[in-house]
Amino acid sequence: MSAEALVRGRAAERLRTVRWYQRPRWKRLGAMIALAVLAVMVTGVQGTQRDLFYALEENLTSPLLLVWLALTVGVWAVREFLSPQVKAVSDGYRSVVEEPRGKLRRAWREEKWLRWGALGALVAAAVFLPSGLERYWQTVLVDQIAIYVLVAIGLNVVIGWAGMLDLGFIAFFAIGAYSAAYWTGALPVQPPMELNNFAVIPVAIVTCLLAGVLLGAPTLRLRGDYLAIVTLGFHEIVYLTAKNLDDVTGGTGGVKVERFSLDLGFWSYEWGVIDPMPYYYLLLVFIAVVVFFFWRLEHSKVGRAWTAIREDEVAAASTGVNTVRFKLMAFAIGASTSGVAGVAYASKVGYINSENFVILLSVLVLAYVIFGGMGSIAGVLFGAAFLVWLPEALRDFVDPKDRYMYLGVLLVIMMIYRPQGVIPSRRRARELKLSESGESDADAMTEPAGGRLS
Amino acid sequence: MSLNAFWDFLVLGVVLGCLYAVIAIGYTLVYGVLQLLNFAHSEVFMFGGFGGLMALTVWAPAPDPSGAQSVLYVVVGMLAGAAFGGVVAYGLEKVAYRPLRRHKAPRLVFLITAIGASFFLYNLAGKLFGRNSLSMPDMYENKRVFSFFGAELSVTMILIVVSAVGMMIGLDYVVNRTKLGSSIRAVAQDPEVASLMGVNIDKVVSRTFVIGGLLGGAAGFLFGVNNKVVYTMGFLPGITAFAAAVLGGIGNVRGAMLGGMLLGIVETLTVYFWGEEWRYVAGFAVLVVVLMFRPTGLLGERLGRTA
Amino acid sequence: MTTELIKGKGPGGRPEPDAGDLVLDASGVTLRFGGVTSLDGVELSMRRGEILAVIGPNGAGKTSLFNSLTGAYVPQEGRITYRPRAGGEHELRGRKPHLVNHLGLARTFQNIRLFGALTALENVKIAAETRLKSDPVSIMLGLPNARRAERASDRRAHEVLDFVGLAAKLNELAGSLSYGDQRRLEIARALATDPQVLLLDEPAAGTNPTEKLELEELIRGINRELGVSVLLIEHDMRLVMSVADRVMVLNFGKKIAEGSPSQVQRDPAVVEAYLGASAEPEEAAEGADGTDGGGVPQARDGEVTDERAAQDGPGKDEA
Repeated sequence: MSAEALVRGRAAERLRTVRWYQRPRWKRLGAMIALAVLAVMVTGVQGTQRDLFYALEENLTSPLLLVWLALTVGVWAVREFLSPQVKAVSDGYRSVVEEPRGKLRRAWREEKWLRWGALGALVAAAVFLPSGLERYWQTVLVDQIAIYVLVAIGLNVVIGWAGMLDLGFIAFFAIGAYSAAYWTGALPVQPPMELNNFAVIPVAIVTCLLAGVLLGAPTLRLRGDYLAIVTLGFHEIVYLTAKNLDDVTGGTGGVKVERFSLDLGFWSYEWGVIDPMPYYYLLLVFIAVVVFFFWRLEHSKVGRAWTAIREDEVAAASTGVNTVRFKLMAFAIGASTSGVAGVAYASKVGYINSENFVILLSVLVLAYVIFGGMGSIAGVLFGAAFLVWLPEALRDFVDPKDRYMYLGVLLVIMMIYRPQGVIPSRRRARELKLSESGESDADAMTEPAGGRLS
Repeated sequence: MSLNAFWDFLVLGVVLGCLYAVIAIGYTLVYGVLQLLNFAHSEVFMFGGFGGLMALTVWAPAPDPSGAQSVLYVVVGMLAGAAFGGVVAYGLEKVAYRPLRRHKAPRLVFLITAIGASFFLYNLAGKLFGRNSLSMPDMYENKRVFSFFGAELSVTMILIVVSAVGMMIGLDYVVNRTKLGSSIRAVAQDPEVASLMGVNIDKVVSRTFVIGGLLGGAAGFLFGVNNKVVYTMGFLPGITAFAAAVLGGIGNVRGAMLGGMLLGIVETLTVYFWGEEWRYVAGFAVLVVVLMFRPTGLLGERLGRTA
Repeated sequence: MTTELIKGKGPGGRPEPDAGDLVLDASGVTLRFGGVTSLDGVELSMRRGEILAVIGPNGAGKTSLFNSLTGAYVPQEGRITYRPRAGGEHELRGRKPHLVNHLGLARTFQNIRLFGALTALENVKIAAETRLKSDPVSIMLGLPNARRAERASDRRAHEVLDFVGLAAKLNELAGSLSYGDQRRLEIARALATDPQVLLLDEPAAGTNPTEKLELEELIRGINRELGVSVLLIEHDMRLVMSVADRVMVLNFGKKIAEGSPSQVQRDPAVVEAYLGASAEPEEAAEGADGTDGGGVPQARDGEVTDERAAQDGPGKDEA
């Protein structure tokens, strides 16, 4: 009897003892070392096809590994052993910064002129600064930044406001671009009548609207994550069609598209080949108009209905909101914005082929929206502009082929530490908080209210 | 084309379908326990291919292997692939998804994380291993073994079918007959109740990822034997396998197997009738049609009920 | 679009509910989840202008009945007929939730489902706006009809919030309101759609005694002053007895009694149902409060939870 108790006591003791490597502190050290190894892989040399192990060996023996190890272990040591001191320092810093920051924030919220002033300054900068840039950067600004800003604003409607994940957004961009090519007579198949590039814009809007509705109508009744995969599939289908039907679309060989030109009888203007600035101003107008329209939508019945659907679709439907209609509306509005961007792109660059519309771009645009802050127009403008600019700026420091790897890391880190984005929308930020306490959804990814059992 | 060619394609479809089925199980398991579409599973699969390749590079097969040696090589490659897949899946869950589960992130956030992780992983592989397609070393003479309605079956095909079927039977056993399997099903059915019953949810989720990763990694190796290994190899099979999982009824293990088989056959028949370039359109078209007419898939959803 | 809250009948001028004039008339409503029958041939006849309470032990199928009436669930069998004041008949079974709402049935939820990140005013405006016509194009262009609609919804939301007594909390976030205020806001949101029938799912759950008294007044006010018929699920017997015109009792998905509060209280079948389920009605109410009050975390999707719970066993479909 007592012997048994003794044995049991010993066993219990053994079970209770925590080995040193089981302690959280040392576990964290292990994690930090693993992080260093991963970091050296990420920042190390490029592999080659001749030797599969070249990069692994190179990286694990390089001094870079030591640098990373020193860094991560240093961070670990500071956090584990010096946390009171660190906290004191950061508290001191915070107390110094707190007051002016609070003041600034209050002023920003309360003083209207401050916000209008900032907006005016930004617009002025957007209008006047670029003319002083080098031609290379001007081209980047127009061909990439302005175009993708427009696309991102469109995607924001779908993902940021209606809470639906669209992974095939560039498909609509492609449809817009090919509409431009078709109606200006650039494709191997001829249109019934040739249109001016500007006249193509409404046509492209309607085309993308229809495409959006066609794709959305059957799928929006389903659970949200199915929508993601279906849009991805839709993109792939559009892309493969553009690529494979080369006697219709020009395929990978591509087609030349006419550039923007305007002839009003008494006044005509042609956007030339060399100088990107006229296109820039044109796109600036497009963006301004779209932003203005969408800003109105956000603060209207439509924007509120989207928020309601995002937060609680069942409650929204019981309140009388036609959830499918509003989701479809978001989908169609987003798609047509992307279509306009497509027309602008084709008419600026003057040449399109199927490789301009790979799936990667859909994911990139998604990253822009999320990085900037879903649901916030300012955030999306910033996110798209910054993330398009960054790889160009880092061209000399980072291998361009690695860009997407960093982008992936950025997305994951963003989602873990700041899912609301750099410049978050106030509603979104609140929703994420509510979701954390288990009260709300913050996206329309669950079972829709209409898709019921029967 | 002749009827023989048709049978050829059909048999190819079954072979491909076996691979899809094994990958689809990974999607379905994770979906079952987390209601999460694990986009990064396709990269788990890809890393499995590289794992097998690395093992067989270190331990290069002899030029003229005997039968026993061949089997050994294949087993080693598959184990290495599975191990790589398992490790990547484990790391993925730990680093990317667990923090999100901690603060109950909305589903959208999970999905975006999955996409980010997928992006990171495949570009990392491209960076580490070069961006060209690599072939597996020859482990056996890939000769014709027998023909079936005029369709020729090679060693590779038989290898794939046999190992895939083996894995599926093994998995079915694990899910339905073991303690781990019953806790997986419990979590899939109701995480709250499961945790009240003493199931450690974190552990179950982690192990579910690992199981999916083991299968996906092994499938990656088999895929590499049949095709080639390259850092982008995960994307399309991954999407197709996901479509297979939905087709069978997401969260339903046997459904994933059935869906994988069907999609493999649909895909090769598309190639047979319309040509190689439309191959992946078929998978997506099937997916869209299924979602429109039977969104719960062929065998119905839910891991807990049917598996 | 009428912005008038008070329709025809002045305060206290409620017409005596007429036994022949049924606003809701359901028969043989049967709802099954897999093998579990949640509602078994339920009959419901609600007179125009009355307050009808639905009571029953936990798991009796009360919320399932609500979900079936409002389109969240589609019962396998039965007819649910709705007769609006304007005349005509509508079959509600199988109708989509938002269409049911448009016909004039509004509801609240057992576990409050507000749009937490929006203000109280915005919550109510969303409801009011479902009755207003304005398309996205005119909103983007700022056309007069869009502006008019915006003003109208604003006015209506203010009126409704005044009526429920939340005028001072217009701009507070719904998620940060007190529990009782959230209940009121949910009622306000339902009222903003100008319903003829209001379905309240345990409005008193989790509220304190003062709030309960206020709620009682509010329900009476909605019924008398606005002329809205009220269907009420409630565990708090004191509230039911004082406010309801008639009571119907459900147990295991079946109607076991119906009549005036005092009749029902004396009904042996009812007493047995409650004694069988728990010691006494008050205790059942306590139990419900415990689960609703927020102790048990709610799953992502309430509907799914209901469904799953129903599959787990008949005793849990309202947990």
